[in-house]
Amino acid sequence: MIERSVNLIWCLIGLGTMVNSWTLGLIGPGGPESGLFPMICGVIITVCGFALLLGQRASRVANPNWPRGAALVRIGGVSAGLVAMAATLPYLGFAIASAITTFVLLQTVERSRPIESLVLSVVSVAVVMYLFGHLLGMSLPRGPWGW
Amino acid sequence: MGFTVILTPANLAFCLLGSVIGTLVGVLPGIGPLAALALLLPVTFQLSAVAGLAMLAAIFYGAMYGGSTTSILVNIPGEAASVVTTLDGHAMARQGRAGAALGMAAISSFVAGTLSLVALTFFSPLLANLAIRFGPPENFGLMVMGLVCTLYMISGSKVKGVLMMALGFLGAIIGMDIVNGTERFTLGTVNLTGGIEILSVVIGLFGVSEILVNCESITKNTMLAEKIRGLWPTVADWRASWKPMMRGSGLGFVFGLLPGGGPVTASFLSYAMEQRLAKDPSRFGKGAIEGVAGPEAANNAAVSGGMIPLMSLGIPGNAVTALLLGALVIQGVQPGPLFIAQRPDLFWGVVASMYVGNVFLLLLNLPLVGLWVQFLRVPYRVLFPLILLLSIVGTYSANKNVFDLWVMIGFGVFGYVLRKLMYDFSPYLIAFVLAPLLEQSLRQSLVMSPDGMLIFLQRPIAAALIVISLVLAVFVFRQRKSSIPEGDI
Amino acid sequence: MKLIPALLSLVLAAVAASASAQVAPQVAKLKPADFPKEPIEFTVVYPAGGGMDLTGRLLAKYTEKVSGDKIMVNNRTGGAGMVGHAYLASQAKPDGYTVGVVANLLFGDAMLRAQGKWSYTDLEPIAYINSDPLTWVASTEGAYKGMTAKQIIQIAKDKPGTVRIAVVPGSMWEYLVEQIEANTGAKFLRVPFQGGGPGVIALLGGNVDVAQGFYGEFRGHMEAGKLTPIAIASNERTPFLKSTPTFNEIYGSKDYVWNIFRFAAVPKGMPADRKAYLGAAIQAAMKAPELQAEYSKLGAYFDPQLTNSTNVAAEINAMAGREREFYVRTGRLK
Repeated sequence: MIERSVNLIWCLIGLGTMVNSWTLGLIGPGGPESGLFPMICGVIITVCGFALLLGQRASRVANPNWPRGAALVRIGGVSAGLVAMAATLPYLGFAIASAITTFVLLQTVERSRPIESLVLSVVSVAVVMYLFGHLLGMSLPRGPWGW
Repeated sequence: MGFTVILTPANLAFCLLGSVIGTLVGVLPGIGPLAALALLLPVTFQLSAVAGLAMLAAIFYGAMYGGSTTSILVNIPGEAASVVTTLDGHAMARQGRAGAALGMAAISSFVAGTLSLVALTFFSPLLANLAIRFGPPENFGLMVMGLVCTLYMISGSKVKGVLMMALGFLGAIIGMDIVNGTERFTLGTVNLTGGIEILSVVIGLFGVSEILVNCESITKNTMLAEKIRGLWPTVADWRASWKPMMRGSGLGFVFGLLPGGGPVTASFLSYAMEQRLAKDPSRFGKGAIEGVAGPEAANNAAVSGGMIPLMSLGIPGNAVTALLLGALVIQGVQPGPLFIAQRPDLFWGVVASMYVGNVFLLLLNLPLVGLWVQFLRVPYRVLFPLILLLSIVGTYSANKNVFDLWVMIGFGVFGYVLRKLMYDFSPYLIAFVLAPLLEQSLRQSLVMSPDGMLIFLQRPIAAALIVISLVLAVFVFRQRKSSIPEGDI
Repeated sequence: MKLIPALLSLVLAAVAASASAQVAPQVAKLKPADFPKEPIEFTVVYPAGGGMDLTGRLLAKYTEKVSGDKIMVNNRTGGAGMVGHAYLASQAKPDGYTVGVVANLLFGDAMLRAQGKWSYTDLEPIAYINSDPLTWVASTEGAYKGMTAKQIIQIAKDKPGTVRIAVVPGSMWEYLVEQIEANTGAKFLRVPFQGGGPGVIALLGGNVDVAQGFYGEFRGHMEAGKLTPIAIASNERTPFLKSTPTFNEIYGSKDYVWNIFRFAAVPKGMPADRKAYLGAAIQAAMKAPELQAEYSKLGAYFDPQLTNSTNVAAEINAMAGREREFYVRTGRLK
């Protein structure tokens, strides 16, 4: 079912691209315009999408092995953690955002003891910040407290 | 003469330093040689020209050595030129042959690096002039050939592979049209005006998706599925690898030399070539050592290839060599055709440093194989937050823009879904890299040409490349027909 | 082991700082009470290693010397400068810790591409850095060798569309050609490239007949005798190219001035004392002869009109105004 939706998405992307490319113009006086190559891509995507959508059963992935239960929670947790990290980075600064994210991730993915996760988070963040912030001189975003 | 220049303790020290940093940078996902060079460029202001250049160059090719490490061990590429190594290198690791893979990667890198340096030493001026002759029509021919070769690489469903290529092309098109400046598919955000950062794509698609897959069935166990079977390549490995090594060196050297190429393209094409030439192509992706030896040789040879236009003509072929050019200028050196004549000490000093650097790196990386393999024993739950953190910082370091992180996450989820649905997404990346250059060269050629498409026939090199591509393309379809499709459209 | 470069830099910097002039007194005088408490960021909107980046890093090095503050260069790249410009104009905090090292390419972005979200007036110039005039170069081999700019332009007029010139669409490379075409009736074949550098390379390969670039980009080839500059779009002849006529000379006009000029700017709304301090620090750094020598090595020159001006901000804004007029005149802006 998911595979079918994905194939449908390809078709939609392809069609959308074709429409957009049309507005960009295909051929101009000097040769191809902005829209030509995107149009070609759009056509290929749409055709392939349809081919996959309508294709034989044999082409479907036999057993996609989607995550269930605990595995799904873990995947969701990691994704949510990454999203949270990216969202809070500009506000909390690198140190705090990554420490929190790492802690939450460790707790979600692995049933470790909170103390262990805390220590691990702090140490990892400290190492990374030292490596990049000091040794390599990169400026990592600062949080509300200046670090 | 260059060896007398380089063999001072200070210069050697910086060359070694650069090698170490390069290896480290290659190992860390996200941070690639470009970022490291950018960060360390100011340091070279205080150093002598030879020391500074030696260090920067060492970082560049050092990263090609180090990049394979994470690719093999944790299936996450250290940087874009090591993506291909994940395919067979990690498969080998899962079979307990991580040691052999790592060792072969280091050795291939060394052989390629040294051989290509020899070519650089003797043939620089000739090759540089060849590189100059590559104008838009020739570039177009080259890109077409590259894309056709990618078709070979597609494992599994060809339809899905072509779909990936088209999507990759589309992804790269997002941004400003170089020919007339109009914005394409930018959805009105400033952040997309410059296009999608390739680092976000690489880390997201290959790195984050890998972590997501691993998180599914995480246990307290380590990544080690089986016991390590020997730390070194076997005789059989050597026999299988020496030809791919040679071919990879040649291919990488040529592609590094030509504009728009570089280590990334070279590694992909080497993989495609090895797959095509192998007696049993189905072994690829399952732990064929040729899939490690060839690309690793290619990406190192591409470094030396890229140095040729830089040193002989003052022309940078890609972002990294552009940075090296900047470093030279800051040192008061005027890169250009007269560089070798005016500063033979600097030129030969840097070349000698590259020979020495390659030796350093071999000595550095081989003994470390044992150490890296131990990494696999570390429980994954400890390893993965560090890997994630490094990936995030690495991606962020490209443009210091949080938007890139969003892109990375998006591609990570995208990659995860694709993995489940058995899509091979290496073609996405290669199309992402090659296609914009293809479009640009085509349109430039057509603008330049009073006769329209005929320009491709009027210029011999371009014509030759296109003909070769057409021939190769025919073979792709022949190959498909001959192999019995199993659930294969 | 990576500490070595860091330590080395520190040692060398300390030695240099103590050996050469100490913090410049006129700068120290202006230093606000509790500023700066952390490193100041010089934002460069182009990738590392390029001309702008090197300019910014050199500036940072010398500004550190005269002010005694720590300065870090940060590359915020993307969109050919758009992302960085938008960041400086709309997101960077005007608290004194962000200084943009920008060029007049900022104006084009602001006027043509910002779509009203920000304007160049959101940034206030505080010091002039240097300029790089656009130069036409031709190959010393091939059909056009030995010709002057005027001759080549004449050919472009007599045989329209046969002379191939490298341009970067949407920027001054294109505007200069447009201007020449409009005023002389010539018609060039514009081959698009992503920058001046690729155009020069194409010239060497015989793929275009005229390339446009900056001194730093073609100097090596010029000295090797592969190409020669034929005209320069500046107010007056530059010290490096004394024998290259300016377009203004050739056509007896004042309009053909297309430089990149680089300056330091800060987000609008910065407290006056911090702004004055930063301006003074950078201007003091610009007076250092070593910095000027370094910039000359990069091929930049110092436009006397801006170097000697007492109100740099006003001058720069005037130039922005002139650029805007050009856009209106050529129909790009309403």
